[in-house]
Amino acid sequence: MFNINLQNFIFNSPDRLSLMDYVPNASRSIRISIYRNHSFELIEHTIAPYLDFAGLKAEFIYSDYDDSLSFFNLDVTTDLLIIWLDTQRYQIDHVEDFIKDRMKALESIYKKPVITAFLGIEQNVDYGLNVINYSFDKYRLILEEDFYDLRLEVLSGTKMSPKLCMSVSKDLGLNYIPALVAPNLKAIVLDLDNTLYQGVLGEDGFQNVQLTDGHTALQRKVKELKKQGYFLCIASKNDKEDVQEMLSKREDFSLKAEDFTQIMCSWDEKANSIFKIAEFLNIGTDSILFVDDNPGELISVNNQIPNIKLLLALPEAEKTLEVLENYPGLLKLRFEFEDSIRSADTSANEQRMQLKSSLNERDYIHSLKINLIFRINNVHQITRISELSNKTNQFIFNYKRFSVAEIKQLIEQPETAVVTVELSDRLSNSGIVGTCVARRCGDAIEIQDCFVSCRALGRGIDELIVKGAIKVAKDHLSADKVHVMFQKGTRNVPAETFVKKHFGAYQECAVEWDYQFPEGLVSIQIKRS
Amino acid sequence: MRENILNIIAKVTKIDVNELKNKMDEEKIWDSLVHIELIISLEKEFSITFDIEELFELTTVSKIIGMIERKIA
Repeated sequence: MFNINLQNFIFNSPDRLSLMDYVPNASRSIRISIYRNHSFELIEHTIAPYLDFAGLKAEFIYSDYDDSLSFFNLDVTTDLLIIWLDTQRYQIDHVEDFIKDRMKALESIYKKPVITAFLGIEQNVDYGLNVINYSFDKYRLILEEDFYDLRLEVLSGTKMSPKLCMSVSKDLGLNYIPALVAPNLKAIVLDLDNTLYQGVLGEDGFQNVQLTDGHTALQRKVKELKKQGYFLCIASKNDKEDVQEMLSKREDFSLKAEDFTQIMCSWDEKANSIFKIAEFLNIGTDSILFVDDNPGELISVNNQIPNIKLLLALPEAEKTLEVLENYPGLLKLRFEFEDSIRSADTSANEQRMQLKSSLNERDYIHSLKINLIFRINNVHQITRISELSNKTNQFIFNYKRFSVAEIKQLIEQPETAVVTVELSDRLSNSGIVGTCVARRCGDAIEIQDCFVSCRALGRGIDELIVKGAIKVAKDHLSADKVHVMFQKGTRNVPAETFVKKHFGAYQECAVEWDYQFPEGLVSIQIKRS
Repeated sequence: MRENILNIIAKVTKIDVNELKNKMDEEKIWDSLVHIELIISLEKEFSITFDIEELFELTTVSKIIGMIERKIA
């Protein structure tokens, strides 16, 4: 089903049978373990269309009903584990302590992301970086007496009412499962007329376009997404001066010109604007969500950019808001420092490009006053390392897609080095932009993966970042040789080119390798945890 | 009414209406997961609620039709 039709289907209160009859056609299959003491099947029955909207098709692998949380027979090869517990079934004191103990035991067994969904107790416990606590509480106020259905429990195997099951199925399918198994989106490209406000700027004038209550809420949500680290851009068929004037003079608009990293106003096809935005942000078009009220524009863009994500803005902005609030890939479960600086960092690239065009490369790098910090096995960076490993598509050697538990385990192993690279210059602080994961094998290190954020590339120091991280790992593990593992993927051409050029001879087997940091070019610090 | 109920049962159980008509009094022609979905669909479609005792009586197509007809009458 075409993305927009699917949007219309799932956001127009579909009935249970239509959801159950839906046949998904998503290309990516995932496997999810359900460890439980009450039924999850009513959730599974209606989840397919929601996962399909996220480009996912799931197979669920069920445990027996197990109050003891023994985790015997748990399939640890799945992509995600959901611990699905009705805590009211426990007749013991301090059930929270019991669960905490069992979650601790789970930590050494299961390394992929975990969702805990505990019906009956408030979850304020931190079970570790790998675990996200799902709360049912948001539905208590909405559903009131329809929250539970104890009458049907004898047949359904759960106290959850069918209405609650439908709501949770939608929430898990659109928001939580995609957030944990698929890369987040990176940018939102927005149309203006009849999308962010009611009316046509070119015809009505900026004073007369209407900001309805729904559009006010929608603009606030968009602004909130910007604060969470998403790039905001405009692709509009309007005059740029009119747009700038509207964004500066409409004081009731939450969104201002400075909230947008790129404002593309053109009468040309919007796909061209989006290609330019992707190039400027140095991101793949599959990381972009395009929002427009005109189905024709969406179809046209989709024809030219098949992997882009689409959202049809509706005349009632409240409905657009509901879709945006539930759009797969936009739920951010952990907030990192890098999320808050991303937009400003990328905006600084324009200044860097101006500098680059007026200076030779060495003077350009000098002028930026670059600081690089290489940090080895730092436990405080685990979440960001995992996020970067899962988001990077272009400069990545092996697509290992490490979970936080896997990074934590690697950091704790003496034969492994996880080296991060933090980058700042006089224009902005980019935070952690790269990581090298290396394992010692005899007198060599094996580069298991190496990934660098697209924001950091093209500043003339790509080689320094990558070779520097490998050197720091090699020195830390007291090795002489390097063996580079590389897996060609669909989009990691930049990494492939780099590996061929600099490590062509190091792919077959371990070979002696040495690298010296260039003197006086940038400031370099190496920190051990 | 009867046809409407049969159509819903057929849709949920994926059993053809004609086959259902041939198995009106046969028990266990669908599994327990299908059964709960059937109850949810029937309650919603006819705006009725089965009490706990009734839930255990709905074991055949005939009994389902009879129960709904009595509740709506």
